[in-house]
Amino acid sequence: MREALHRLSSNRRWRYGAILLAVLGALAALAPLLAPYDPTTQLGSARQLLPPSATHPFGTDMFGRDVLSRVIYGARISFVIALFSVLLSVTIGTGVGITAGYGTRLLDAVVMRAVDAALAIPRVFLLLLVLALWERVDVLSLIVILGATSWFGVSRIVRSEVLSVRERCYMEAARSLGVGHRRILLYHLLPNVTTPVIVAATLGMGQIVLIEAGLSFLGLGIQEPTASLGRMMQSGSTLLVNAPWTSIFPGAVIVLTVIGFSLVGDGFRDTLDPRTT
Amino acid sequence: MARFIAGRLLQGIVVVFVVVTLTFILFRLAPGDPFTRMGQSSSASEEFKAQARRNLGLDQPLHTQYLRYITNVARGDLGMSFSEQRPVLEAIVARMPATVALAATALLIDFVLGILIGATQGARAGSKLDDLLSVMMLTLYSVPVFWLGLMFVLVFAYNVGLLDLLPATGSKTTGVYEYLTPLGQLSDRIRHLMLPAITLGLVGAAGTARYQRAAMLDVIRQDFIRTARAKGLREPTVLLRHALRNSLLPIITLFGLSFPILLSGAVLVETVFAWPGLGKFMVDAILARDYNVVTGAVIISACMVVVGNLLADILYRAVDPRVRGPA
Amino acid sequence: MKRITSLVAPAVLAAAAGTGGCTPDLSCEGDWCGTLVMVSAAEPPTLLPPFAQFDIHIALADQLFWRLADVGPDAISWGHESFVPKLAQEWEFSDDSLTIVFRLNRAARWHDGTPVTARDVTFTFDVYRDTVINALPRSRLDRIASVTERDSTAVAFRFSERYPEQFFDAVYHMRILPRHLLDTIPRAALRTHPAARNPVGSGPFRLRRWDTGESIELIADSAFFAGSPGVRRLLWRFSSDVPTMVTQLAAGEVDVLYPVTGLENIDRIKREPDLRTLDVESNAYAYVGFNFWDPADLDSPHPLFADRELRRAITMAVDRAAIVADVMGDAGVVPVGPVTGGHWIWDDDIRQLPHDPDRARTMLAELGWSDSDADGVLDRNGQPLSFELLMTSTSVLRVRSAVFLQEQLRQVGVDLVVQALEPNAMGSRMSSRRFDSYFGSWLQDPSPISIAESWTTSGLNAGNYGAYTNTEIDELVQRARSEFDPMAAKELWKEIVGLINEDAPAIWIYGGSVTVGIHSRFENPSFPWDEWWKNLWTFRATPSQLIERDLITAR
Repeated sequence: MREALHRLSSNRRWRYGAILLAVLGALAALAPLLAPYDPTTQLGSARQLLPPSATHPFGTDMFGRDVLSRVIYGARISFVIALFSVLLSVTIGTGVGITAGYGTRLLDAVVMRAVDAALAIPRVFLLLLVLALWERVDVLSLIVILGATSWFGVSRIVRSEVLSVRERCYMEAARSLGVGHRRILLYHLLPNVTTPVIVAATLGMGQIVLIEAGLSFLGLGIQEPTASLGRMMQSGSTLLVNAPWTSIFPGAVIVLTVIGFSLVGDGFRDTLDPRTT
Repeated sequence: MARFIAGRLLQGIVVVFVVVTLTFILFRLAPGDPFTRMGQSSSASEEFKAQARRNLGLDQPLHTQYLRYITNVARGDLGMSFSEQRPVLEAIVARMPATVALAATALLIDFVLGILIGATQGARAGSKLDDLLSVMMLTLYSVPVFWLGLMFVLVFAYNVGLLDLLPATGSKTTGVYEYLTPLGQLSDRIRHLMLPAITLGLVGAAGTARYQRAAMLDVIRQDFIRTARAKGLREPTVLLRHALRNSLLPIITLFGLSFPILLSGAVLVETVFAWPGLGKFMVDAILARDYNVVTGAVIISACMVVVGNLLADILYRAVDPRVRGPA
Repeated sequence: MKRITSLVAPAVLAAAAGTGGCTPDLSCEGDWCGTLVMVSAAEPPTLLPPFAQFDIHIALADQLFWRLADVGPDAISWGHESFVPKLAQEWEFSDDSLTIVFRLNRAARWHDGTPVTARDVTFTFDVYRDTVINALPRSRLDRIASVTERDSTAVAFRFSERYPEQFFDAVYHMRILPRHLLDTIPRAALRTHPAARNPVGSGPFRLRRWDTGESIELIADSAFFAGSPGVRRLLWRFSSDVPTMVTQLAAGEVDVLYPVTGLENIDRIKREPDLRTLDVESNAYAYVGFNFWDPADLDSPHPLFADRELRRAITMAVDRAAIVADVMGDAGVVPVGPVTGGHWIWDDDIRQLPHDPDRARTMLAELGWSDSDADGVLDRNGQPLSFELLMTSTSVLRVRSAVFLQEQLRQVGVDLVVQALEPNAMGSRMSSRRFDSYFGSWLQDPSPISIAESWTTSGLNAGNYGAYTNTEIDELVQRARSEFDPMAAKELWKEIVGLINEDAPAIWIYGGSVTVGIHSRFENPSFPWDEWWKNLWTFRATPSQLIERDLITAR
């Protein structure tokens, strides 16, 4: 464990990514303390579409709202959604993977066919279908919907790990007598599964940030007046010439966040995944 | 080979079957009345609605409805589109060529660019060029695809001389297109295709480049490369003939994985560029509450992915030297 | 588009088509060339006029179908002298003034060559009065007792009473339909019948091609009895959102954008050298309408909006002037009621509710609303003061106004949830009355009765989506519509509007003026106040400034 941490922190990519995420994450977590204004309060028509200045470092949008505050709160929502939906998807995926890998061959076949089918549907299409049918786009629903549609890859990874461990275990268990399979599975399974799952989870968080931004851009994600980075980019799209700050800053934050997750995920993969070393 | 194809085809059909079942479940599971979702009844009388319910089979038990749904889909009946007043399949098929053209061109750009860049990075691993390209690819990978599209629209729409060459909206010059010669029509379509395809392809290329770089590094480290070098072969020959060719095999698997991602990205790109494809249709259908279209689009897109995977699998088998041999 | 590129494009095309031989049919020569390209966000499901729900639907239909006569440029709906002949060339009142006989222009033809006859008019009246069709103007034809054929070109309208707008009602609401093509179709099937998507009319343009989701191409009728249209082709494109439409206008893919909304978009069009912006008086006003009935159970009163005091309180909480200034700048006007500035009954001394958020708060408190759980939203008996506002996703002004509105209401503790829908889906929700409130817009017609159409009992199954009724107002309307003295009529109408304002069935947000973007090569653009699309057929492209698509003659 300690060795792993050491290897991680000496990996340049992982370091940069982790620092980036730590900074952004801290900003997001401390939003109520750091944001100079309330993100939805309109400050009056005199303060609409102001370029960046001392009082408004990121300028204001067409409704007279402080862009910096909205970006911080928007980042917060993005992080929350990414974190919890990935947690949900990892939980579901691991559970399904273990069930499939450990169960009968029939169960495995059925579950994996279902997973194949779900993977055949392009992710955005599936999300749009669920969003259209459930019509609820508050933060909690988004977390659930995103989490429920993102676990398929994880389940595959977990399942293949379970299968390989199970093979080995059977051989061992055939020799030693009566030692519980389950206990062995748990002690052998977890360490092997953790690494690819962590890599998938981290990269997955980056993907979720992009997807959530895309949904907001289409008008199907977080609704006004809540600050959402994708939504800000959408309403700023007609203002790219007169007021570019309304979409450049939210865009930059998205890009930095995804870079952070990608670097950290790559770093995990480079240092921890035994298959690539 | 034929047996292989048949086997894969069967698997594909099973997958589509499961997808259709999944959409059935989702449709029934969702809150609200499936009837209003299917027929958009507005000011019809109660009697009319009751009859329509019977026609749609909504008064039957669930498993009967399911059977009916499966048989309908198998026959190609995906319901009626409320927003276009015509069968869903017809409406979707009308839009598919646009999405296929976009996806195929983007795929081409994605892989050509991605392989080139990734291979260069792999060959020059650790150099300044590699670092620079890494940063560029990472940034490109992290930029939302719709933002890239917006930037293109900005550049081309505000620089109007360029706009004539590469239009930023639509798939053809409506009003002029119908009167062009076939060659002129082709040229018109290609010019409209460029910006959306480049947008979609660039982001994909960033991902492919990362993958290709790793694959290239893997191959370069292997013994047969050392042998080739030791034999005195020139570096470009070593790289191109031996390293690159061998690193391409895993890329083909990436090919198959790209389809769902490509179609996902197409939804956003089509919206930004007003490209009249399946993705944009789906988004418009959601705003129009045309659920039959939304469901149908999911099924069709899954079919497209299955077909794409099948093609990729065939390609892989045909190319993989370990598998080739007396058929 | 720039003239330079207008030379480049054909050259490129020619080069591209080099070996193949012929270029596109750029064969138009002489005086009569031109393609006018329009664009809008909502595509009509059908081109038959009785089914039109939105102004875009009727704008298109009006290029194909004509009326018997139309109001003049001053849009007076009183009497008949200021009216302009269309399909009818002359008319005569009977001595008791209860009958008007119209004589049709013998040269008027349907696009298939058949002459327009009196039986077409009687058929049209039948269709517009049919409850199955449920045309929007149906209630406006109430006082026409019958429409009968005198001979093949003479048709008599008989009225149940004398009133000043008889002529207006006879001619303005109905676009004449071809009996010989439509009367065999059962009325219930008419809306979705192929004939509805492939209509034959008697107007200046006929339908050439309908590319669903993309465009509708109309071809001018060179033998049109009222004169040749100014352009050869009228292309109507459909785009799904305003940014795309603005880009298309700026790029020269589209010739006219009505309206150009959003201050930054107007700014952008102004900067294009080949485009012009016109500030045009408009008869459209936008409002937030309340549903008086419960969308979940249409027989029960709405839990919030059936209460007059609540509606008044919410209305007073809104600073309409601020919204208009923020969203439209100086060109915006705050409506004094469901009426726009160009209308002859407009007066800025009409009674309206003031903007008074403090009083709003007091009223809400008196009604029993308080923030018992300190979440910023008022509640009463466990129910929060929260409701949904429905609107079309394609209207930039409404989408933006809604955000300002949300904030203003939040200040007094009201939670507004915004839901945007595509226009046809929106129309469906509205006509089935499944909404709490909606952000809609009306086009006024020259008659003040259009106020009644939307806001009184007579509009209940048509435009009065919120189902607002007030018997006192109904009685006043009956008096006003029969009042021959225009001054007295105006006072009555002002009283009616004042009463409507006091009941607060809706909040009037903006209306009165729009900015139009148009390509400068069209030499005589005009956009009438009551129907901006009416004169499109007269637009002409300056022969020396023609661009590539103008030269196409459709075969």
